[in-house]
Amino acid sequence: MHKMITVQDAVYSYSDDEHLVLKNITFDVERGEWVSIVGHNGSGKSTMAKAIDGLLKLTSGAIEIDGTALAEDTVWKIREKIGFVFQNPDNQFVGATVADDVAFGLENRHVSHDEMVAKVDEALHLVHMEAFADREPAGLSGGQKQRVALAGVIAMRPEIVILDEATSMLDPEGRQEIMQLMRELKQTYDFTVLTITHDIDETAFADRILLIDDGELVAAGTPEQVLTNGTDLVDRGLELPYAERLLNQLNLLHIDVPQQYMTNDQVVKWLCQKLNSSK
Amino acid sequence: MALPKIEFKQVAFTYQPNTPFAVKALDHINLEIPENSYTAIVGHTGSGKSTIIQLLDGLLLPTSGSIRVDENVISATSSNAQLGRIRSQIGIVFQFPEAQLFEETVLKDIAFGPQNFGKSEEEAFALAREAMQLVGLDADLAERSPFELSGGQMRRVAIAGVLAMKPSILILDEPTAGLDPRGQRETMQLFERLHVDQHVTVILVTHQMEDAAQYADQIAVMNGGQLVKVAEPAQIFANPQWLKDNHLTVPKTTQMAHELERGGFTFNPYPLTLEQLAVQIKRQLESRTQ
Repeated sequence: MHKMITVQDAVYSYSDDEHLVLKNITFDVERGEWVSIVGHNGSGKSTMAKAIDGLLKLTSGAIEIDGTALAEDTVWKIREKIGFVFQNPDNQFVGATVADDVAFGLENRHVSHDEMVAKVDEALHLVHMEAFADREPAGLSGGQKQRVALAGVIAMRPEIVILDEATSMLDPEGRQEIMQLMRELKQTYDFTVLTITHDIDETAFADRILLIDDGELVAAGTPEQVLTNGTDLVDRGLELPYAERLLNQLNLLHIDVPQQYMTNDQVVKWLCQKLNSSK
Repeated sequence: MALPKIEFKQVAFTYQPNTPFAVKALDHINLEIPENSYTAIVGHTGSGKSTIIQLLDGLLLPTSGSIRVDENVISATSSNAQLGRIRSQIGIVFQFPEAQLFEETVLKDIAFGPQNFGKSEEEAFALAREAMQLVGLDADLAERSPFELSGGQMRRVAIAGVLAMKPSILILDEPTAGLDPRGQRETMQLFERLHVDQHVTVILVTHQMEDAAQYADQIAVMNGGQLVKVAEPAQIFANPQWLKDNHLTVPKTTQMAHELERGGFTFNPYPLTLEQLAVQIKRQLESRTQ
């Protein structure tokens, strides 16, 4: 197995503060894996993501990206491998048009004009925004803006894509669009994906989930392992998936429910079988 | 019967009228909002929801038609003095309201609104302390800078600033956007308390259909500048296909009930909450076994 991200004993505190935002966090992510870091507002999950991109420096601990230790002299090299999409797309627009904005990163890398035009067209096509190439970013809806931000990231062909609460300002429709799109893109380019979120529905495509609470990594595993009662998601400011909540509620009403984790479809199937077998 | 608190009569609004760029944002809206009611306005991006908020706050004037709020009327020719009387009873919590915090202390920030409407500093501070308590902000935070607080606390400061003006009508524009599930739940419960205990008339503009289903007594559905339906939540959410046709997300409970119906369950009335769904499932499972 090839380790794409390795985090060892990560500790972080703001310089004038003794409060630890990250407390000895250790995990790694394989190449091609989709990992979601979940936690409530202020749990430290975004700080972890920013440290991985070298946007802030750990107080102690080590981070390796694709075998290279993150340090002052490697941070630029490492950032070339990482595409980062932030919460508020308005904070990262620089271009006067959508196409200019997507081209910005390529321009910085001195890509030739012809190659740049081709890459921008391709990236806009992939996020289904080619019709908007000459529009002003400010006039787009939130979902469209995040698609453009994603196109800017894809044009750079990163190996890792980090979505830091990238859908939290979107309506539910826009949110689903972005997650579906990310899934398609991952299939095409085999990125390693790291999503940071407090929305459990957004972990639907994750291979693994890391749960962070007050700077500590309190659970790690597959969705089946983490999205259950055992991890106290509700006490940690989050919510269980809908299917789990329904099973809990039925259990409170004295209906025997299966102990293992089930998706919505599995719950529907189980309930309908139960109804029809008792005819 | 008492007159409704707010009444929209044939309200139309066009951006840049009489130019080639004219865009009709609202098309002859008629809507009654009763006193002490909880109304949700839903519709996808661009449906006209935000235009309604801006008309109610007098930030825009209707191109034609009128809006009555108690005894005051907003029309194309309303004066600033008339708008001022209406503004003093309407509190609006805009999207991401914490972006508008600016004072050096929490207390001063919350007291800004009442002072702006003519209260003395002493009165405004008293109102601000009361509002802090209402939103669950610890009194110790009064002298702190609002910018040192967490995102959830900043949102509470901003909401307290609106409540300190003692509005009889509260308009909420996506009030839980960006908050984690616990923050969302606490914020919605706070508004529910204000609605029940202080008899505030609430207008919730939202994409969160679960919130509309759970809290509102009537839901107004906007699509393409038109008001397509006003009804109780149970009626609005009974037909998933109709919701999709109007670009609304189907609440998870509705979706689940709909899928269960295909497998032999029947729901009448259609459940709005997880709890209601579970009770109906239990009843049907048990009636089959007897």
